Amino acid sequence: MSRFWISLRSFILIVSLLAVLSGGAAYAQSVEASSAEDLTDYRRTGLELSLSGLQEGWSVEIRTDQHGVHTRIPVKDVFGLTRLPAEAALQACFSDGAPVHVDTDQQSVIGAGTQSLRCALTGLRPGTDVAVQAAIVDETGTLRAQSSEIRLRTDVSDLRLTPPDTRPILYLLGSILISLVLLLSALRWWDIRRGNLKSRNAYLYVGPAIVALVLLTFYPITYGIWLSFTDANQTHLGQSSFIGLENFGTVLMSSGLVQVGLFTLIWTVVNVFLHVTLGLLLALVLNRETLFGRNVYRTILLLPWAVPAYISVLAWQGMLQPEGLVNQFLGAEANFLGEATSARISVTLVNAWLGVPFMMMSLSGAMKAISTDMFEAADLDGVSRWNQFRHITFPNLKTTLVPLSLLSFIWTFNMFNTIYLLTRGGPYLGFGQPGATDIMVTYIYDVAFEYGDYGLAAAWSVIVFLLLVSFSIFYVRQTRATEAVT
Amino acid sequence: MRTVAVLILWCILTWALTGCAPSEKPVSTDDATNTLEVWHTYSADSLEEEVFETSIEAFRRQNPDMSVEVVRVPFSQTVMQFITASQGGEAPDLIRVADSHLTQIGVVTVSGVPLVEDLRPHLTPQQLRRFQPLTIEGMRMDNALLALPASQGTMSLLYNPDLFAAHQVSPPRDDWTIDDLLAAASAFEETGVDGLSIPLRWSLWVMPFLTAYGGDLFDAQGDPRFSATGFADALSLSYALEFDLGLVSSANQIDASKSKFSRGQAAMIIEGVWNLEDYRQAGINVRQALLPVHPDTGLRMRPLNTLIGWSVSSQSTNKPASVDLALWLTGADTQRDALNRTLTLPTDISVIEDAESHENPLIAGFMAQANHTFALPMRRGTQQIFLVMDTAIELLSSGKADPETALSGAETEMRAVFER
Repeated sequence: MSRFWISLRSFILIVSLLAVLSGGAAYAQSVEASSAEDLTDYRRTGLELSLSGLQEGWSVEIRTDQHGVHTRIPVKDVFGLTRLPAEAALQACFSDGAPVHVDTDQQSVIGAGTQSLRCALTGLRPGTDVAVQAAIVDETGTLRAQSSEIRLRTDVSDLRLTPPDTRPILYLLGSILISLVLLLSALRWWDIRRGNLKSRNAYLYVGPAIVALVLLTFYPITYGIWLSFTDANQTHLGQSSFIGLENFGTVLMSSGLVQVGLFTLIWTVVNVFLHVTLGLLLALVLNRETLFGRNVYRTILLLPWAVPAYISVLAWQGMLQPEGLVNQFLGAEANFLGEATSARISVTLVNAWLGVPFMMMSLSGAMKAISTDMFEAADLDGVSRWNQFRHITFPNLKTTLVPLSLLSFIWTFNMFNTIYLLTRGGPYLGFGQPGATDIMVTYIYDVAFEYGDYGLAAAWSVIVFLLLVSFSIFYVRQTRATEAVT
Repeated sequence: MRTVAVLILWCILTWALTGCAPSEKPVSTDDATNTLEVWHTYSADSLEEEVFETSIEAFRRQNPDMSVEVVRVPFSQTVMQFITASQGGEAPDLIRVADSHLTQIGVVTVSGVPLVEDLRPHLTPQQLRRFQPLTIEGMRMDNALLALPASQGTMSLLYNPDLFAAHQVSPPRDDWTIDDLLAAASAFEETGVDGLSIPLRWSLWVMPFLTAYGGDLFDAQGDPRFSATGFADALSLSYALEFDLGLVSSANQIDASKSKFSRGQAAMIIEGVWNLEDYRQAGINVRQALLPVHPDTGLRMRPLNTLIGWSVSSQSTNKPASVDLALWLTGADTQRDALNRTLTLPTDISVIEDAESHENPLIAGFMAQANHTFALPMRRGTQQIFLVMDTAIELLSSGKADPETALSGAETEMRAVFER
């Protein structure tokens, strides 16, 4: 009997122990949630969790009434795993003052011994309460412990990017405009005082042109010049500061300056030469009364000018490809735009093709204005065709030829489309250098929009501007074109 | 004289007064609008645009109180147009961007504020877990999450099985080595068909060879390691393919390569998933195999993996709604629709693992290839790698530098770009 009681007591003791152990284990799993307001910011707030009884293979879940499961952090063996750097852990939870570990998939994990977590509860709608609960879930998805529900919210408002205020610029433009109107009015009033009563219409006529010039040309040029003295850069728009002549120093010390400057010069001179000589030659031919079908030729020769330049250039780009029309015609597979020399020749010829019709038409018109009496007299005197050209045609064309060639020079110097659409400045034969077909304007484009260095690009532009102004003054003086015109 | 003096004084005064104009625009946090402006970069009337519009329409139905205005911008102009619009305060709420765009947009600040929103505060960790981790990492810059990935793109080996059968050459297999690839290309010599049609003057096509010979192009810190062992051999091979072995034509520009394959004049091509539709429309039989493995290093040729996703502008007046729309446009349903209709590779894990997604062997092949790709580091100037590597290739092709010198120069230049 006593043995029975002993066995019964032992059995009860073992069962009780097991019950206490298992019940104790279940009891040990707990999770408590509280607010961590110091983490509150726009669209997020903080949550602090006290945990116990975690086991590997389980996970800790944070649930909200807005998102369902907001965060799920698996419990794993964290030996050998790294922690995220603190600055990268905006969405991660912190344990013991450091971000939790991350596995090979960069997902947050915690160890079984974790007792507290501080988490940023992201994705909240500002000004709206959110009900939050934390839970411990085992590998089968069974809920092992759950915190009581707490309500959290963030009222921090949006930090929105405000664009740079353009109103000062508008005020400036407005005051320039008013100043101009006043200036013209004052000048008119001054004229009246001096007895010049007929000048009103003159001011009315030139007024709009001056206003347009100031607003659309002088203001951007002045702004560009100002930009060239600043460190304006894509990384800090609206926050540029004055740096003096530093950008000009960079341009002048740039290793690409000589290469791009030299090719720009060659490109411009060759093109202007081809435009003028071929234009003149064609104008002479088409001006011959005896030429059959002159109008047909003239129409055909005008086509490159009539079609928008970018379409013509893109057509040439296709024709110059290894499988393009030019190669098919030549029975070759040359990569015209891929090799430096052939690319330079190709872009020059295409631009010449584009520019000749304008020159031809302008010179043809000028030739028509030359009196036929002079040629008839020369014929009577037995002057040869060549001498007629040298001593009659050419001198009479000078007044047209000089401004035309000057225009051609400036246009070609700044001809962006042809090169950009044909080769984009390439091929590139040096690291950090301009491409083989880069001229100054295409290189400036790269500096501004590929490298985002607006200040430096503006300095390049100012140099180009000064070069062209100097050349124009020099050219006009040397050719005495203005004297010839008057 | 007095009049002129008064006039000059007036001018000075009015111009000086412009400095007194208020320089701060007041910002209200309560002016959130119910209209979202979305900039997309799909081609006009393309199937991709149709899928996008279907998704937007479904979003409108789900959110009748929200109005969505869609604007198309050219893909190549995305960066400039977005920067310009942001400067003028006219940025859209949401914009479709490539990871290469983010390396440019992500470094731009206007008055000290970044142009695009860091999405981390806007999203829950669980919302991010549905994306393939590498695609999320590919949208990060300096820890900030700048976009949600909607699709990924990569290149793989495409071949025309009819040509292989006609010339009795064994077609490519996933376990091929580079030697097998070259042997197969050689087998087509004197058949009138190009064995391999790839534009080897373009770095995008040379990079897979580089990775098979020398491993990663960038180290863990994102610094270039082009002068490491193996890369010069890869560049030598690309040179030999064109000049010594004659297996790849010098005339192979990108379009030429593509048109040869489309016309059945080339047996193999290394091509992007984005062009599959073109070949399908050209009516040629196309199969895919993984890019081969280097016989000695055991490294597989890995092409560049590119990502396209959706960014929220820092100027958005309704960021929570913009984020919701970004989540919608990158959601599993939208991605599944894009995969089925336009063969666009997904980033959502559930779509990637969906058995239906693997029914098309070409797509299944490209998804397998996506596991053997590399990503460029998300740093300012990263996009310059193409120009830098193209220059190295050009220097080699023109005989101005040997492979070692060309790659060493490329590495130095790339480091300089990062430091600029």
